[in-house]
Amino acid sequence: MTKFNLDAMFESAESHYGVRIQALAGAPGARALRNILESVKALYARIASETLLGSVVIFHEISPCGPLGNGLGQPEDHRDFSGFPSKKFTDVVISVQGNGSYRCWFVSLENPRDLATSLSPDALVYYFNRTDGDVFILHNIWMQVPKFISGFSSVFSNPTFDDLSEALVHYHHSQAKFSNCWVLRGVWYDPEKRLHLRAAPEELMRRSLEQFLRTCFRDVEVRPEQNMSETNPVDIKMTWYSSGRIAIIEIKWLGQSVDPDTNRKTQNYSAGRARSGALQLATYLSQNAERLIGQQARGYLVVFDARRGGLGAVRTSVKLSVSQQDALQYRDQEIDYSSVKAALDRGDMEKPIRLFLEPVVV
Amino acid sequence: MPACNPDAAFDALCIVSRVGASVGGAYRTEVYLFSYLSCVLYIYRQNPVATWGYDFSVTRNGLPFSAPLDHAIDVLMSGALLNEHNGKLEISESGSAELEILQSLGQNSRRVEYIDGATASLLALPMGVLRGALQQQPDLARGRKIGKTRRLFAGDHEDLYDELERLSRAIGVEFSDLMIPAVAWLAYLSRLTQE
Repeated sequence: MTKFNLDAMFESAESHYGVRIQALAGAPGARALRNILESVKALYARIASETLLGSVVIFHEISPCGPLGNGLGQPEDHRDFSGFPSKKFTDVVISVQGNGSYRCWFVSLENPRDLATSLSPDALVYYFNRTDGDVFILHNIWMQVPKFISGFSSVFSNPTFDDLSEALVHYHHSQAKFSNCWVLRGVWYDPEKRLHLRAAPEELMRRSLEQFLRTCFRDVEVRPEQNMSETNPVDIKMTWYSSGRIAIIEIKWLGQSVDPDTNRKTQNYSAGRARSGALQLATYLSQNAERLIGQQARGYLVVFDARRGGLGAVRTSVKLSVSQQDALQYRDQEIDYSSVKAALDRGDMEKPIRLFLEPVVV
Repeated sequence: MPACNPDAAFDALCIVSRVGASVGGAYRTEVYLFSYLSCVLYIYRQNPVATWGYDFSVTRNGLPFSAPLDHAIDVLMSGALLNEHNGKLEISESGSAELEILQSLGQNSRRVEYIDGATASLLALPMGVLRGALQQQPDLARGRKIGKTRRLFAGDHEDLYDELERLSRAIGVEFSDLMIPAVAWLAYLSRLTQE
């Protein structure tokens, strides 16, 4: 258990954006914050923050003043954000109206940060882009929203899943594929190329996936490194509170790893490693069936695939570059599990999920 | 309808209605969780916990549970005021009508502020993060550590009082929207899960 620190809580609470907004603008500020948060959630329910090209500026007037947003051109009035997915825009500026509707400007801003700040003397402003993250601005004071979850561009934009397979596919596309998750970025020996993993990357892979699952499921306890037996820990165990259902996730990685201290290769895992993972998971599930009679458990093998062609054997020196064809050699090459078919056909194991980690291809 | 704790019944209806509107249905565990968080806000506003109306325990998962609330949910379901769909509770049309009447009663209207502050924290934090944050609260974390269910607020709740007292000294208690102190407190707790 992490030590609870009352002084740290004191500091954390004092500097929280909500507390500061209330201190700066009282009840009207708190009302504006609630309205903006509702608007932000409604917007990101329609458009994932990851897909936004430019900036989002949402403001709610606090002190009466002339109409804000003059100079941005002709606004569009919207009752909700249902029409937004079909719109093509770089930046969007949204004024939350008193009647709950929205006045919107779809624009291409030269300096969105300046615009957001210029609105803040008379309004609470929410500003977002993928580089700056989520910020509230009031009276020219920028208040950064702490980024407590990895992988999502905005802390207010996170999908919820009921189905684990669906969530894993989303995790691949949104976080793992291009190493968008900042935890996962740490797995690379050569992050600017993404050809070699660092030695022992499994801890960071597990943490990245665990954080994602914890964020995206509502009724589930997600726990790392559960000991199914003394010799066979599984990587992640998920337990559904309501039904008692269990998911056991085994993580394997493929590719070459390098010790950054010695610059020597440490491992070279090929498809056989994924097949051994399938057998290992089958063993876990058998043990689970004996130990936890009456609980429905399903196994998921998740394979982080960082294989590249042309890197040479594990005894050779580290290559700093390979051809584009070599870098992408395994992108569409699925793993052949036919030799372990019996393990996969046992009925309580999902089809293995391969997460190909893309190299940087210029 | 069989008898149940009226405060618990009101809270269950109100929480299911609000969480349902926000994220679509509420799991039972979420009703306990938001009820506990509402009670924390009630204490934060310097009200005595004894007047909350029903008690809580912590499960061995480190999550809050309330037997009176659990019973109230069963009673509301038997009266068709709450329905269960795909494991989640939803408020029925008659439940919404009942809630509207109950909300106008003085003793219930006072509870709405706390429930609203607690459930609105979902605007700022995803459910999984919110739950993980609460599990860091020392009294709840202790339940997980000892691995068995124990009563909360039963004379051994000094940790929570200390925390809330410190929180109120840091940021005051006069918030027009209790979502703000709730989220500030939970944001700190959620940081502990990353350390």
